[in-house]
Amino acid sequence: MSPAPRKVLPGPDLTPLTARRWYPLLVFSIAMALTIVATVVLFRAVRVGDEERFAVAVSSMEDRLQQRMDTYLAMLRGAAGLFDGSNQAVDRQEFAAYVAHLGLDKNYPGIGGMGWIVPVAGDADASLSYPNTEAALLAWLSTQGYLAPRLWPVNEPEQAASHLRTAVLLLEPENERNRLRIGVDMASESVRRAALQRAADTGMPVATGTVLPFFATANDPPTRSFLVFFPVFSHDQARSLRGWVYAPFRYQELLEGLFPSGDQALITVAISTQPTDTGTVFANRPTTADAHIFRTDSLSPAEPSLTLATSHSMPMLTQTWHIEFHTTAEFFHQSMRHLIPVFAVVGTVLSLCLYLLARSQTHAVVENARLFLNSTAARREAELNLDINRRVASALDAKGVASAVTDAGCELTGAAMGIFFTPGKGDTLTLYALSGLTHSHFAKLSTPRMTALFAASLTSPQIIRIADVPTDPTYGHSPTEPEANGGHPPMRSYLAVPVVSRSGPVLGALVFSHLETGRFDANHERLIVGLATQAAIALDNATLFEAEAEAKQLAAQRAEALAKVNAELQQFVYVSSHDLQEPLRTITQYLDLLRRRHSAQLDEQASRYVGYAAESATRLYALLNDLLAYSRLNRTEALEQDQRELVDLNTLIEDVRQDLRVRLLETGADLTVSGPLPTVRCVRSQIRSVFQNLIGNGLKFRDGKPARVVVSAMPLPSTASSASGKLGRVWAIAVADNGIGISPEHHRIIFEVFERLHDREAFPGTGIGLAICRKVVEQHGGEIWVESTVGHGATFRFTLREDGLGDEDSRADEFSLVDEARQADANRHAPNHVQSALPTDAPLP
Amino acid sequence: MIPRVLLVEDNISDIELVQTAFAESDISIELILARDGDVAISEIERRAGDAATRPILTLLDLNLPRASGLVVLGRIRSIAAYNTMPVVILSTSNYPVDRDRALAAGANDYLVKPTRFEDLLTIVKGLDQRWLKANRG
Repeated sequence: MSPAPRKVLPGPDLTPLTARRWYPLLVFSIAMALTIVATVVLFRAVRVGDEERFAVAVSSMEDRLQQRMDTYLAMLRGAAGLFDGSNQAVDRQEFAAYVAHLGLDKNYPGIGGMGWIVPVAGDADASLSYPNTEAALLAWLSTQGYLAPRLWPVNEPEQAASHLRTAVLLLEPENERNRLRIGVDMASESVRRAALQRAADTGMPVATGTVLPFFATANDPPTRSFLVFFPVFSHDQARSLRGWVYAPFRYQELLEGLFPSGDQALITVAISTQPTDTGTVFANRPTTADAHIFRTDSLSPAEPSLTLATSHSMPMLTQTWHIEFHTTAEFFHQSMRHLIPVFAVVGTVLSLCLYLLARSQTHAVVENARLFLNSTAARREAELNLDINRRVASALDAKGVASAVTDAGCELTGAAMGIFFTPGKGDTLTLYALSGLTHSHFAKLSTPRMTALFAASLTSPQIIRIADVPTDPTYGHSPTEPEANGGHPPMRSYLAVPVVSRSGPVLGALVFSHLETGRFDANHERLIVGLATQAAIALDNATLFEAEAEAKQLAAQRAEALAKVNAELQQFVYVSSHDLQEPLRTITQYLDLLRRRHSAQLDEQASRYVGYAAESATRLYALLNDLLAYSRLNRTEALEQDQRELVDLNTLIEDVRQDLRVRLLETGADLTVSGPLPTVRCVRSQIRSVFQNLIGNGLKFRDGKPARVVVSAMPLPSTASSASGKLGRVWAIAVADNGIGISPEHHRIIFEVFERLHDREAFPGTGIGLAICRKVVEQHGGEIWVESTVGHGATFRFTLREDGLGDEDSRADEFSLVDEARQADANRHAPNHVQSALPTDAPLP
Repeated sequence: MIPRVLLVEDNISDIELVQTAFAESDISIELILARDGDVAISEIERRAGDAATRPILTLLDLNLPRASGLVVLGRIRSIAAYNTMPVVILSTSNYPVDRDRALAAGANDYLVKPTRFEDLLTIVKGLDQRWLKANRG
């Protein structure tokens, strides 16, 4: 039979939740992917936007350039119209007015002036209404106010035949630079000549390539420019060439106003004519390194990777301009481009935030679940512990405790087997309790011995936890059977905790085992240590409980036996004294009758004999009477029937005075009551007999002088218990006499039955009176004692409760009350003590 | 007319003492004797119907053979004819409980049997004074 599998207290299972641990990473990945996609989209949108912006800007710039050139050409065309519309030569004054009207400086920046060039013919033509020969032209120039005009440069003779010859006739606005050019032969330079020729040939305006000024002066630095020639023809059939309207365009001035430059420039512009005017350049043409006819400068060139660039060709009359546009860094400053890294960073940061949030959430969820499971496990553990507590606590005997604890340990640890060992004889062990096994398991094993393994728990004592016990060096080593490991039942996991009594000794050890290895952890150890502590307490309690129960039983048996003996004795005394009384009374009566009625027949001796017999019989009768009274006090029926009633001691004393009336009169004694006496709950007849005895003693034990007996009462100081209302007030009642007194060594013995201090002749009595007093007072829960010295009278005191409670519970307090009463009594002689409470205490004279 | 007194007493010496006491005190009575409780009860019952034979005083001992004094007392008090008849207990016991019980059961007085003959004479005189004189013709 293998041990039954037991339920194991499971730890929290968090495996379903650990899968959630990568949720935050997933969230982060998704967010990052979104960020990347959005960044790419944004990047593209920005790029498209930039390109569009670039295109628009470029288009706008082109438009402006085109517009300006159109305007300028229209202006030139208008000037051509001026010449075309007149057959006469336009004189200098007219032209100056015209040009002034145009306002070139103001309205047409970049145009240095506007002029009129005519071809110079070798022969005069009379049909013409204007001069055309050198001489005529010089003459005309003179008429126009030019001093010493000349036409120059003069062509080389070999050239003159083949080349066109021209002369500038008009050039306005008038200034030094333009004056110098009057009479100049434009065709003397190849570029200009080609252009002039072409215009003349095609009848269309022609633009030159880049040229440098014809000549420069100190005030007129060479600036690069181009020239435009508009041909004007006669209106006759011949349509002969009349001349050219021309204007020099200075690139820089012409273009610079069109395009923003410097810091503000978003786009740089570079214009060149290079591809088409190769080979047509003037001798002093610019170098290729500076091939551009115009370029806006930029202080902030964009990074090459970012730069947007485009190159457009633009027809400029007979020329073609190549315009290159390049973005500047400024262009991108206005771009959305810089938002991209911000966007990416923000996206990344957001992703990180999401990651952290998700992680904390996941963490919180896992933590919550863990806490929940832990709390559930803790609650189950607590419930189990409570249940175990209940079971252990309810087991009152040691065997039951050990059994409950062993079972509980198996439940707590999931152990397959639990043993509660106690040290046995010699090196043997006692299997005090077993769980998961029966004693039959051990039948085939030898007597369990104090092996090194077990000894560590029982003698050291220490906690032992071993994952795989057969591999442990202490396993199976017994001092008496060194090779035996049969002393151990089969087990792998091992956990042993000593159970140590609070008073020191090791009571035993709780040993748990399992057939699998490593089944016990620190938590199990903790639980078993707690259990062992509980077990120790419960075992201690059980031991105490058993001992107490045994003692109680013994005491009860003794009390019962004693009560039986007492009852028998009392019954015997009662019956015997009662039954003896009747015949004795008959004897006394008839002896009395004999003496009374037959004294004449008796002689002196017989009379004396009868007298002895009568006296003895009377004494015997009194003795029996007192004995009967005493034995009746022992009969429990008095208290069982509760004959207690509220008795006013003042009236009780008067009754006693009546009882003793004859003796008081005979002896001339004085019985006084000092101060009011209390009303107490008591058995009237019994207390009455107490007073009868005490007062009677006061009357009896005297040495000649008249007796004085004083009765008084004093409440005792209230104690805590009486103040709380649990008990009534306690009174100390005193009966003081002025008799012969009692020696202190006899103060206790006088309350014993039949104790007499004096010979019968001097003080007749039975020796039972004070015993009766003591018995009555004690049955009322009080105490009686005497204070006296020989020759100075005696004061008997006894205590009574107002409520008359004399039960066992209140007896314990009684002694302290009595002690206090005695203490108060002793203090009474102190000067500051109230003496009026008991004014008659002092021994009377 | 001589008063009739029922004396319930088992002890012959006591009977004689009571008779002697009455005689010595010169109190003439007609004494009816009952030596145990049962006899006393039958005497009581027998005489209940006839005023001529009914006792006018009962002296009752408590410690009796057969029916006890208290039983006899109870029977007397249960008969209407004896409603007014005094019953005086004459007992050896000076135990207060016995006294209280007897008085509670309807006894008119409780007297303890004295140890001296003189005291018995006093008692007898007291009885005569208290219960019998009025009935003497």
